[in-house]
Amino acid sequence: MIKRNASSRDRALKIIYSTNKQKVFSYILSNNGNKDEAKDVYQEAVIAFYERILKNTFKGDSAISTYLYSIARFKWINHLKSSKKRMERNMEFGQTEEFDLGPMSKLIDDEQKASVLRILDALGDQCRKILVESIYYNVSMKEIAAQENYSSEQVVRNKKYKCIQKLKALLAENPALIHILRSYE
Amino acid sequence: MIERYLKGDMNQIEKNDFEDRLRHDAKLAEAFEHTKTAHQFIHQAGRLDLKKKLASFDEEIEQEEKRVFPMWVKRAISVAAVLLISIGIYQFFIKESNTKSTGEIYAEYFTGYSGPGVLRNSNQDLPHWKEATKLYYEKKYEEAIPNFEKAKAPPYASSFYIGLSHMLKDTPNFEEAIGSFNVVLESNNDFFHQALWYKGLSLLKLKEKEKASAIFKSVRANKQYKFKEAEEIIKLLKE
Repeated sequence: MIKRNASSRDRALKIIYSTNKQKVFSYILSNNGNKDEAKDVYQEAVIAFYERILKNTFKGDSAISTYLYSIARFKWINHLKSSKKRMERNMEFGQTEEFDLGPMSKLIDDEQKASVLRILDALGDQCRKILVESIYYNVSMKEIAAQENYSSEQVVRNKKYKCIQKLKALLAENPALIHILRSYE
Repeated sequence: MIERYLKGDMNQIEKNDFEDRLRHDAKLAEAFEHTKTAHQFIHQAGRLDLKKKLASFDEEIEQEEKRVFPMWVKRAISVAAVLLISIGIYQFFIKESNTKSTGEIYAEYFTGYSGPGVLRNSNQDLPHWKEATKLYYEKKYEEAIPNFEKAKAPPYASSFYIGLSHMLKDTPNFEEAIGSFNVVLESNNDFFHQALWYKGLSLLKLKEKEKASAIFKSVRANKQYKFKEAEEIIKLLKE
């Protein structure tokens, strides 16, 4: 699992993002997509790839560029198949590699996004950082203590515990959001 | 424990045990569901955070691309970058260093111990023990220590939790922790094996590699609390 600090992670992500962008954009733009759609799909592909790294399910048996391109292509084709934006001309979708991106791979939609942002706001910046860094990015307590200038790992652990309790209380006030989150299983 | 399960940090035996407990313990099952939902929320928050970060890269890239380079320079840079990056990213993300510091080993293996329950001997100074227990569960370890000291509990019980509190408080004091664990280790009692384990961890934190190794060898030999983890730590300390 990755336990790297935020600045190292951001540097690596930016390199991956910028290096592989053109190929994916070219594909989507030449297959009935526009620049905004290309950005959206590409960002979701990078997120899906990164989460595989976090879960240690990316084995490195294909090049990163190939992998990202395949995920993006899979997402774009699924989008075209499901959307009303059908081809004006016939388009062969061809064989696409299937990706099991997991039940939580879809970014929560705009309506729920507002609820998520409200709760994050109520949680406060400090709690948001600790929880997202430790639980989503899998950063160690030691790294969080160093990057956020806490005096020790134990201080971070204690704060994390309090933040989780606070989050649970906030979620308890939003049963609709809980239902949405649980429906992703 | 719940978090370890959700993060996938348990081995198969631990997972089976935990899942069995979930089936039979309604309170644990409820706590599990709440924690799981909280984690699902944090994953969504993490994705939003990551998406925002990636969107900021787009803006930075667009700024950078405004500088004009000849096409052949761009291609050469791309090819070289892809090669270097593939090697670098593999090293960065996939390859794990085999050499761990004592601090890293501590961070990997330290987990808290559940709070005090009911003591066997009922003739206790209960108010101080109860107060100490309450503070311990509230993670107010600094305040818990004097209450454990005042409680007329068996020395091994008070000392064990005093030792843990010294490890867990905001400004940990591992020398004090070891002092308390040594009291526990003077006799054969309910907390002996746990105290040995935590003494070993405290020594790791103090970078006393050889002393820690000796302690973990005793843990391994006793085949009681955390003896398998002790075996793993001994191997790591040899590297």
